[in-house]
Amino acid sequence: MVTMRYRLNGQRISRRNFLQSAAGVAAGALAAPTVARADDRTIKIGYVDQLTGIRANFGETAPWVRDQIAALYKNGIDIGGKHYAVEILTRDSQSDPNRMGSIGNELVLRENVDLFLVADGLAAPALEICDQHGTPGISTILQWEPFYSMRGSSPEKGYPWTFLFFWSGADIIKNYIGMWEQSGIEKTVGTFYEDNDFGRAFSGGMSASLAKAGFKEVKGGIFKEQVDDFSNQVSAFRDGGAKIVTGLVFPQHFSTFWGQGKQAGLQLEAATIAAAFVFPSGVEVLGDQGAGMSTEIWFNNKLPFKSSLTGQDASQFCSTYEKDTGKQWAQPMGYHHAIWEVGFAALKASGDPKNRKAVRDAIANLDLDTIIGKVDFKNSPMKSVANTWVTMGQWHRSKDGKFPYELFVTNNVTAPNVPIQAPFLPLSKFG
Amino acid sequence: MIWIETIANGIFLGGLYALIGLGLGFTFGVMKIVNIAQGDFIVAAAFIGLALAPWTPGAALLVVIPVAIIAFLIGLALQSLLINRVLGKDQIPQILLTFGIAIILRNGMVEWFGANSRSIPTGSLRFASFSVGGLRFGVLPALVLVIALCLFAALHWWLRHSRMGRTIVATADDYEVVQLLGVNYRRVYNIATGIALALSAIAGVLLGMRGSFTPYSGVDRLLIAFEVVIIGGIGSFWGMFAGGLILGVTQIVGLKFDPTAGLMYGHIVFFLILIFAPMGIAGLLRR
Repeated sequence: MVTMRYRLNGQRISRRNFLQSAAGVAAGALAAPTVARADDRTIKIGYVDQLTGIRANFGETAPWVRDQIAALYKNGIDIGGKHYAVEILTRDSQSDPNRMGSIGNELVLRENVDLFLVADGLAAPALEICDQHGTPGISTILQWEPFYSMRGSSPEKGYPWTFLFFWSGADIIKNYIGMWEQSGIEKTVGTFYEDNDFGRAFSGGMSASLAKAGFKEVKGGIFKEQVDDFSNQVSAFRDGGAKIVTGLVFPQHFSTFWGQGKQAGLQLEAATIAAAFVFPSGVEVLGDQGAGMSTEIWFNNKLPFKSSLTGQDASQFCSTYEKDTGKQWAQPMGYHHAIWEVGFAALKASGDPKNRKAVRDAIANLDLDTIIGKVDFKNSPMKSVANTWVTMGQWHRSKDGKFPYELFVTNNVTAPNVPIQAPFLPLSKFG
Repeated sequence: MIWIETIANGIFLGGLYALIGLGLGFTFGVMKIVNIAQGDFIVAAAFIGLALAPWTPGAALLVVIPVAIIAFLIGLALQSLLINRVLGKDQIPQILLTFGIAIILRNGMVEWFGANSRSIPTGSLRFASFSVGGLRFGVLPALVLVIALCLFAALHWWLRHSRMGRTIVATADDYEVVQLLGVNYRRVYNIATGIALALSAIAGVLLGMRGSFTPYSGVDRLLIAFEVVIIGGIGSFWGMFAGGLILGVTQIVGLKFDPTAGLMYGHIVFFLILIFAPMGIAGLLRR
């Protein structure tokens, strides 16, 4: 039989596929279950990440990880005695929730993917489409509290088709306070936050926990993204005797704050900031003042965990990245890899990767050791979510000098299974 | 005492704001052109400053000189190659043109430099401070104010006393009449845009030293530039300078009362001036 081929949106598709996806789109408009069936010897995986836009730094390592995985499966995969080709469709959310929704539509309805993977904090619109159309979806790099609250679910209810593995916002606060208590620094904390959902949520949780733990809080308030000046926060912290500052602050804001703090004679022993110090670039923007900054840590290159796909440990994984790209490893890359581990483990365990229900049930019964540690959906007390560890780290100057700073695990308050890599030191110990 | 510190910090910030507004106000005053890309040029200049910073070790502030020269040349090219082609009675083509340039610049910077925030290294200057009457202030913010003041004064003097400056003023008054005197107003426009971009570039470099910036910072700076020009009054240099200071002080005092909504007070002042004194502070004084 001769297959006629047409070009649509720059992709070669067969006439049969074209008619099917046209039917799929039409059916989708009527909110009916998908009619189209893709080639049943190819596993189609949709992968979405924030490759550009304001949160692009979270997605920076994703293309490299994706290429590694694509190379690993370039000859396909054998599941349940059958051979399948693996086709990965990568899309960029541009850090935009509207675009996330249209990508979800495209991948689920038009491309009819068998598995939807998304490593983006704004995954909700796409995950909702997966849930409506019965496509198994796995997400990460989003705290699980908003994963439930954004679409009005709860740990008891969960979601029918979509899953998340990541840590909890409440755990971060326990870790912050635990670290300060262990450090012996005077218990006066200056707080300031970005005016966004995460900043406001963090502010509420932090104030309550500080009061409970007997800390004195000097409030610097919640500020707008357009602010260029932090002299008010600096003088409030200085006059209130704060020895610790914390909050959710973007790197450009913290850098301005830090400069003004030095100018005004603010003397701190700890700067523990969410968001700003997740990436090396947030510390490097402080010039030679970056050593000693502390933050939450959820992946680094010295962990004892191994990939279930490649067998590489964290250190080999990160150094391969550094060699290939010339850039320093970054925390999200562990999760960028782990999401593929979880995805392929579920496809293999399902026995029939083209059977949506089987894949969904395989995810729900997964208990997997990945490069970021254990991802356990099976024994999780929460529906649709596997909680992962998060703990505290501190940036030190690198010894070998390839990159200026390096992040170490210094405390493991809520994650005793993670070994400590360096002791926590107050800022006065870094000159 | 704490209020004196707050207001002083507001004045320091206001100096930078005035400088951010100056390029936009000058372009509009001379050519009746609204350069929507102004904010993005400011950020682009900060990136150029970042790239050139290693060439001026020890005296970080000197980097503003090469950046200003580069920006002047870019301004000449921009005006002669692009904006002069769409000049006319209709304002829309040049607004669309500069809007397009803004989008290209912003996305180009994201593509080229990535979305990370940067800061121009100034060594120990960034953290240096001085004390007056028991209060501590940053050296860099104070220097920024002094530089802004000098640039305003220099531009004011040059426009009054130099041949080219007076030609620019005359062209601004009536570009049709100056043609009768043998002036090529398009050439005058080239130089005016060069100067405007050079001034913006200096503002951008100082902004990048004082705090930090990302390729997306331009939009916020454009809003500040507009507010400075409107509060100060179009066509008046010292009005614009006052506009910058008013905006800076209002923001810092507002932020002290209310860290969340402090920026809004600056916008409220802008709004009130727009309603009750549409010609700005300069307009009020002239009356």
